[in-house]
Amino acid sequence: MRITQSMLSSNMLRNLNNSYSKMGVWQQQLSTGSKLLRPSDDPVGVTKAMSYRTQLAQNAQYDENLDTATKWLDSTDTALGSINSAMQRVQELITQAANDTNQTIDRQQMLKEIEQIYGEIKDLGNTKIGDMYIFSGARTDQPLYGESVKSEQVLYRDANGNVIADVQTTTQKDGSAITIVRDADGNVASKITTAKDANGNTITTITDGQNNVIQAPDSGKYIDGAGNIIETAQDGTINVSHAKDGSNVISKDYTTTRTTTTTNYGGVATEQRIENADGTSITSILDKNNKVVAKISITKDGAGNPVTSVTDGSGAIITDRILVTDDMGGTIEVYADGTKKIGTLKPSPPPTTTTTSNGTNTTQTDTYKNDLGQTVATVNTVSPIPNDGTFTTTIRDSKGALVGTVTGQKDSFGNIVKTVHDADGKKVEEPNKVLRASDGNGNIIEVNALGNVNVKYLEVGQVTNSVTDAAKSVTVNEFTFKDASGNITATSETVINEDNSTYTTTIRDSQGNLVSTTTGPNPISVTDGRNLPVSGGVAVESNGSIIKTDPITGTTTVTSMKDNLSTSNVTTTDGTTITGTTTYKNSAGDIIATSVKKTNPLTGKSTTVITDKDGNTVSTTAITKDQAGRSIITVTDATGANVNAPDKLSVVDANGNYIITDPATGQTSVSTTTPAVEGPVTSLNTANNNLLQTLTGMNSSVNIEIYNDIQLQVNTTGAQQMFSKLDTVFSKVFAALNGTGGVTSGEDISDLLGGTNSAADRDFTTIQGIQDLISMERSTVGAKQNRVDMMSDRLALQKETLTKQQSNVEDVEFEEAITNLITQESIHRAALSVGGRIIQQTLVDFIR
Amino acid sequence: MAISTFMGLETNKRGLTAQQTSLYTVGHNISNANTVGYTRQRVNLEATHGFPGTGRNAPMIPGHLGTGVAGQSVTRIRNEFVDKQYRQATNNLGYWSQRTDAISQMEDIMSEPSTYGLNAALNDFYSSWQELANSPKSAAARQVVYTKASHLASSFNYMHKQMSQVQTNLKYEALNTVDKVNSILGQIATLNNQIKQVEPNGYIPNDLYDARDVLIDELSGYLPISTERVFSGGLATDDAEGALNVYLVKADGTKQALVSAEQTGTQTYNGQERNLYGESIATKLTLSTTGGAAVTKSDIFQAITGLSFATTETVNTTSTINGNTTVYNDKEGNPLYTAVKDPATGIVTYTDTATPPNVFTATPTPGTTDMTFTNANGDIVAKSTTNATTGLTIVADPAGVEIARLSPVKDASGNITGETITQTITTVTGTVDINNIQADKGNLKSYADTYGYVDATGKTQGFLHEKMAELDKLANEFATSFNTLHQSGYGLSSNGIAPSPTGLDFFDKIADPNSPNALTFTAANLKVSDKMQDFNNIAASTANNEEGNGNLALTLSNLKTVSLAGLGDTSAQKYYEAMVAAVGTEGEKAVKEAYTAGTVHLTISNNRSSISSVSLDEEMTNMIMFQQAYNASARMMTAIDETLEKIINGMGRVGL
Repeated sequence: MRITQSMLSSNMLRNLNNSYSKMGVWQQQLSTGSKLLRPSDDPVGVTKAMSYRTQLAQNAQYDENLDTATKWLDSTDTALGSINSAMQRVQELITQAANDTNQTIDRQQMLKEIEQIYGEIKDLGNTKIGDMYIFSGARTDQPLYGESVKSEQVLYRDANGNVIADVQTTTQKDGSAITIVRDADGNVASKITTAKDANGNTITTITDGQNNVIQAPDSGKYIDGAGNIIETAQDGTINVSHAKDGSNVISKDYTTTRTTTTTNYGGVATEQRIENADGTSITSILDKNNKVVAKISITKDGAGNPVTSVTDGSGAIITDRILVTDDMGGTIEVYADGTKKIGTLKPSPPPTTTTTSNGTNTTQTDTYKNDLGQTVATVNTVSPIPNDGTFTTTIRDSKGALVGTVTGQKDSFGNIVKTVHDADGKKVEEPNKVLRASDGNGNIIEVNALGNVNVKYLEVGQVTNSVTDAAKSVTVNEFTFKDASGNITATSETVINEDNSTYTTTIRDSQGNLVSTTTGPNPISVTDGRNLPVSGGVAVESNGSIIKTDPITGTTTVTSMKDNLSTSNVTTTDGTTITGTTTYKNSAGDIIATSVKKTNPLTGKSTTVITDKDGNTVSTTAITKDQAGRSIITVTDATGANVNAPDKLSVVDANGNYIITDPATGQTSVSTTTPAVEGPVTSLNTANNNLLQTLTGMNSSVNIEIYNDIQLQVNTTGAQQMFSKLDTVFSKVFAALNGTGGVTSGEDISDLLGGTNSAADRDFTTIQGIQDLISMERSTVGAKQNRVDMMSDRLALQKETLTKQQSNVEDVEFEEAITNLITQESIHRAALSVGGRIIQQTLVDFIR
Repeated sequence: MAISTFMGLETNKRGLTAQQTSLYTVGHNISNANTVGYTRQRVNLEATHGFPGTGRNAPMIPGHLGTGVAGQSVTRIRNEFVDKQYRQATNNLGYWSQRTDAISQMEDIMSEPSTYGLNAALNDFYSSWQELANSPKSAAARQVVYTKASHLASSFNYMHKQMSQVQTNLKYEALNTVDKVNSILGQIATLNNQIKQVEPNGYIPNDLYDARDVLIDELSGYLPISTERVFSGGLATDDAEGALNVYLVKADGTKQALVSAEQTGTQTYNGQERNLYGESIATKLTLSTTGGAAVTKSDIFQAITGLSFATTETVNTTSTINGNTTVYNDKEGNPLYTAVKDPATGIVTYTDTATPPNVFTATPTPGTTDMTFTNANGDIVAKSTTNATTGLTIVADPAGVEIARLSPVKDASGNITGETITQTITTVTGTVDINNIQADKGNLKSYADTYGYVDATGKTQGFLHEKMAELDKLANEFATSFNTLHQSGYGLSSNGIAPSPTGLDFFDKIADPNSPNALTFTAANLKVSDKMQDFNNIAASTANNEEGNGNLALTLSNLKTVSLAGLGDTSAQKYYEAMVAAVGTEGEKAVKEAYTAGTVHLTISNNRSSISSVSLDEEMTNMIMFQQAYNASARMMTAIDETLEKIINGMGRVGL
């Protein structure tokens, strides 16, 4: 091939160009550090590099997200930890407060401290990260406890001023509100929730006490035990009517064969012992005024063993003893085991005194004896030798049990000051306190605050007269009158002698005082409480109720002063069936309802038919016995349909009178109603009383993405519930520590502690329960913290790997690039010098 | 019979002249050693006919005496086959180097991988939403979201702007290239005509050939071409190359003439009948768009549909005036129009020979010599104005472009008998569909491929056009799905009680006066909705009035990895990655092809140089050779001179 100059130069030029451009590439790579300068350098590499960059950018973002998540979780954990320690302090305080040795004033101090702790917990509920409240769900702008919450109370009262409904409305800043309607006992009657939907329209929802939604158009109707009615309409208006009058009776009928023994103990007491054929007995002990002091009942338990119970005149069960003395010194003392001491108290003759000395002390022993020469009391007085006037006197009863001590000590002026302590070490103080002790034998030792000892012994009353009637077959109707609140107003006992069909009805008031005794039927005669015959009937006011016995019919009518509803009862028998007719009348004397109970005394089966004022049947209650002798109560309504507990059959007539039958007990209560008086609106907000906000979204979760599509909820959505439970716990604590009527109860306080896996514990409304809840929330947070830590480690690892891969794809290997550049430089230089030589060398140079 | 005494002188004179010619040619070669396109030349030396010549009276002498040398011709040393190869290589190189440039510009616009490309903007954008999810009510986080979103939108806008800029530039370059091609074709035609004038005289215009070859080399960079020699006629020698017809070779193998001449006759040369051709005429190329209209320099994208070719020639015709009637003839002398002038109004009615005839009217403008030509519909088609002194009438179209000039013809007595009409007539000689231009050949094809053209199925294709369409699609799918999600979310309530703003679009379209009701987002019209300037309207929450709820922000940020059906089930970012990868792959291919084409081009170029270019060493050697031969001839002359001297002065003097 022929080679020409121009070929040489163009070859060289192209080579030099190539080598320049190569050097340019190396140089650019070296100066940028990247071997991917444009996509065409390495399309696959560029795609990879882009996706590595994307992933790295993402990971960097996730790293930041993890920091945020950690911030949230750490703050939450710290706050929960603080709440927990605060609750531990509350627990300590409550444990201490539960001890009854604490005076009310001590409990007040504890209350003050707990109030502070509550405030602290509210502050913790408003914990912030930056400007975000962490316990407010998605409403991070809103403090959990806000001052903008409005809480108001309206009380509805009956004619007597008693509260029958308590309506508390808590209105949130956004206009949403929760109204809780409670009855007098604090049971929730209904809840009215007002919320706003996304368009800002108000939506009102009403739920009953069991949180069941009451669907439109029904209104929620709630009737409490006293027959008060609280009605909540769909629009949230509340209509409260109270049972103006109310009556409730219990009637018990049976047949038995009984022996009646009447024993007189002098003028002190009369004992009436009714012994039934089956060995059960009722012993009534009456004082000289015929008032029942005690009733000793001997019944049989399931196994046939006798069981003794003692009740006082008002029917309350006695656990210790009853001691009654009359103006004549007559004493009746009945113990819970049924033993009794009846007699007359006599002052003890002067004591016999012996004095001994042991060199330091002189001991004077006074021994008091009764008329039989038995020791009733011993009084030991120890005084030092020489006698400076100080002494210690120990008083013991006949059994040697400590009654009290009297000490004489010198005050700063040298005067002797006497102090009396009872057996428990409690101080007996002037002016009125008298220490009185009974030794169980009816002897009484009195020590007044001045240290004077007065000993009386019981001269056991002699049985002056004891008559035992022959056993006779009787049918008994025990009838109890109750007022609207369920309190006993009167009792009636009708004993029908099966032999001659005569009956005796004994009416007593709620305290057991005899009101009247009616015998009949032919003629009907009524005697009053003093057993004196009366011709105009008996009417007695007792404890706010008027108990009236009609002299002609023998019907007893009880009218509660408060309720003005009268209930009358008459019981008759035809030998096989006892018919008890109860008539309920309002204050105007109109009949509201009539109840007719027919009982077969032999089988115990009964049927009670209740009719309204027009004579229509309202309900029928049938009581039958199963094979084991237990009562089976069946209540049917006017149509004959069964009514099952816990529903109550409630019938209202046109005049607003209610007849309510409870299938659980078979009892019927009758009441008339009138609208309750709506009290003024009372604001419950006080200056620093931050209330729990319950805005929409406060239960929402706050999520942070910690990895591709992995979202971690960083807030505590249970916070609302937890703090509302805390509120409940604190309000319970405050109520218990404030007590009722200034009196606190150690038992009530210790109930707050919980820890017995009770329902309240499980509802997290005890101190133990709420601590469990806090721990639960805390452990969730802890688990999340672990997760975040793990993810953080994972991200770090991934970052390393990704960076390495990115570097592999994108970064220049400097050694290689520099080597290449240097090599290329050498080649370039060589090409230049060789080219220069070749091009220079032409024949021209050699032709001269 | 004897040989002429002075024959030696003549023989040597021929030697001197021939060597001198050769020496001068060496000088010419050396002088043009660095001239682009120069082909080294050689003097073809040939021994002259011997003595005596043939003939009845030829003297009989022993032997056939040589009479010296003569330079027969001066020719270029060139290989036509290598030329062909060279032009093909140039063709390839032209295509690929242009494509490399275009893609490289595209890569510069994308600037990936980097910390400021669209990918980085998307990363930043999504990260800002995550940040917002972390603190949904933070005004700072919202500000960042707004800023990053604006940056993202302007990244799209920027890319679109840059790409359409590149596209516009490509169109300008393509139009300039067409101008360049037209200029080259014109020059070739001119050279052809010059060569045609020289060659019939027996000359070989080597330097004209060189000039023409350079032009053809250049032309082959733009279009795939082939050439054809055309005999010039007359005394043209065998070494004469003649005129060159240049053709565009289409993909289907057929040809479209670029420079051509019409056959005018035949000539018998050396016993062969050869065609004779007239003047070489260059066609004028125009890039055409849909409907055959020419591509213009306006900024609106016009897909290239092909090339159209036209020739222009100036034609002189005459008309004869007979009273008020003038008959216009075409160049063959056939009647074309008959014009009848109404002497009263001066209105001229033109009627052509078609059936039914087309009628034009020319109305004079009072007070001037101007006439206005209207067609049957009353549309103005032309205007004319007449110079009062010379009588020259110039007819122009309504835009003012001259159509024809009419000069009066007068008889001996000065009466006007007719008009000479000079007209430039453009004849469309053909069109070539862009799809019928060979693939990967030449600069022009590359422009069409990168700028945008209409493919065989009528669809608009082209690298930049496709990339811009992809970018538009990306912008639309991304913004649409983002908006759908964003609408479902809630912003920040002004006071925590009033309902949060919801149902708002995050991205909006920049109002474009050209398409005010644009339905889709494009890379050009994407912007962050003005409503988002109130940061509270940015939705981060999935629920009303929950300022701490950042769940929607999370969902939005997760759109990063969500596959969009409209993007072929890839995420926006992956789609963009694929786009970059495609550009990269195309680029890589183009760079490699360009390198290969460059290498092949160099090799072939070297081959050609090896044959045609001047080697100074060789020329020096030749110089010495011819110089010595010249010296020797001169010495020979002296020797003959001495013999003559002996004859003239020394003969017959024996004894004197």
